[in-house]
Amino acid sequence: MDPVLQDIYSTIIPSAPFIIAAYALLWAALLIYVIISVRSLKKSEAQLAVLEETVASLKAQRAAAPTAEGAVSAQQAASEKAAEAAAPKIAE
Amino acid sequence: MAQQNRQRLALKHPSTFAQYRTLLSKDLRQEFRTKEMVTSMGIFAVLVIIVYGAALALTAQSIDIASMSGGLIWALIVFTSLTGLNRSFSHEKEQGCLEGILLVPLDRSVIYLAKATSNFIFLALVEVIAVPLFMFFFMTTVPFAPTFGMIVWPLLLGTIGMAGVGTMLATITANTRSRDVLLAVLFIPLIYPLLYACVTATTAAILGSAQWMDLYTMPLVMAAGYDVIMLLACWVLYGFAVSA
Amino acid sequence: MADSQKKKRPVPEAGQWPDKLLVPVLVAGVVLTTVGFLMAFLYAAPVDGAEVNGFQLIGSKLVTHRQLLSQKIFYFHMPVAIVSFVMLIAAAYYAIRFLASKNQRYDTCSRVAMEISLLFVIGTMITGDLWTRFEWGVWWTWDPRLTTYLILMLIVIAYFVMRNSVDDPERRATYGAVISIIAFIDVPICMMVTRLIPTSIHPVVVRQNGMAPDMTITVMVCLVGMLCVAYGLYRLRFRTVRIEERVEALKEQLEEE
Repeated sequence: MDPVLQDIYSTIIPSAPFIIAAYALLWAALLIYVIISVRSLKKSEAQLAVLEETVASLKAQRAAAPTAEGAVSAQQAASEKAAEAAAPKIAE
Repeated sequence: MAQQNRQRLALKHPSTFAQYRTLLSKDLRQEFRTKEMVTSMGIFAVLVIIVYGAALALTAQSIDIASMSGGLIWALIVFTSLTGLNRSFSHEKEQGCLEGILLVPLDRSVIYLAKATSNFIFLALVEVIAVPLFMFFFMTTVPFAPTFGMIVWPLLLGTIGMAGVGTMLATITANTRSRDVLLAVLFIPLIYPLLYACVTATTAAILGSAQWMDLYTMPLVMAAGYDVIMLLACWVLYGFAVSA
Repeated sequence: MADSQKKKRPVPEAGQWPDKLLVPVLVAGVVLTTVGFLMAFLYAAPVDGAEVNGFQLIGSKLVTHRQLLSQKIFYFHMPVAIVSFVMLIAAAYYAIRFLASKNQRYDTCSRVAMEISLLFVIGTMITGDLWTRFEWGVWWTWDPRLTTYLILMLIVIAYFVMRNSVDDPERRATYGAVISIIAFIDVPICMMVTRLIPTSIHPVVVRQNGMAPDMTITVMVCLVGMLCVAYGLYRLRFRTVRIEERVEALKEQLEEE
């Protein structure tokens, strides 16, 4: 190749790794952030589903138990169940 | 008759300046009696100079100490002011003074102004001691340029800015867990433009070369602009920060 | 936790009208950034570097300088930098609205905006650093833009460190709002100071000012694309944080019973 042409294009190949690295790292950073956010979202949605279920069962139990004592024991049982159900999910 | 009695008994609401003067004199009187802050800041400045001595020991003869001295002096002032700012609110928090002051129906910005002024006075006192000490230790071989006296203005503007921003940040970090480290982490990036401008102006004044005015006036204007803008912002925001 | 207040303007919440725009805006963002990326390499003319001895006729132009490929990083570097500052403005806006109304929701918006700003500042530092490494052969120079972005990154990291060390939610929100407003005021000052003060010690090579039209179009396309991507990320993260907050509130309610 003509030496002048070679000189004109001389910086392209040495610079290619830097350019590729720059764009790749930028996309990687954005992608990592999106992945972290979506994983956190999925976990929270699962916890939300469990909690709503326990709230519904709590209300049902309290409506079904007529006496105060029965209501208190049912409350305790339901809140224990809620803590149990929430605990393994939290520990995940 | 009742009206006359009422007028005699009515309390005079103190003016804002009187409130400011009272708060400021409280801080100054406390410092005058115990001398704890100025002494600890002064000793810390001497210790930093000793560390400089170790850092520059091997190269003291070969480097151009005059051109580095501006930066070294300002690093000294930044570290000393961090020490002082950390302690300025420790008293208020330990003795519960701040809650007491907040009970008084005064404008919160007056507290800010009084605290910033007292911090400025202490820092200026320490600078008056530390800068000649630095010159004694490191700059005896350097001939003094005729413009040397002009370092007063960057020192003044820089100290005002550091005291102002530092007081606001010290108020915020006084209630957090890792108090000292958080103050340093917040203080140094926010103070960076002021530091850059003041170092340039101080170095220009110390070197005193032919075109020193170019490197001196523009940074001084920028430092003054920084002071005005940041102090105004802190003045407005202080009410929110201290009532939290 | 009402979705709207008695005032005329409702409080921002996940699932409202901005989320309906989310998918089209995100798709637009991805498309635009890809188009911009292609334009950067195929459409915009390469920039001249150092001179060479002699000349060549390439295509129909007389070429007398080295052609730089590394300058193509600029087409993503500047939009990312601008977007990070736009997110800082958004964070300061929500901080001001929090201080005015004391509603915790604005504090959440402010925090998420600061997170996105941090992400884009890190992107700016990565691309800028790699560009500097190739251009000048050093890993770091204290030139105005890199220094300002370093300071911005340090301030945003300090913001998150401070948020972690305060336990009381209202106090944390107030301090966070004050810091983000001060940061928003400080960053332009930093940019102006480092740019306007003449440095006689390190001569800074001044680049050609003014951009050719094809460069301008490419940068604009990338900028709009990046803004859309940032908006999409903000809404996604905001929805995640809101659901986390609602889960926490539900747990507390169940514990009380």
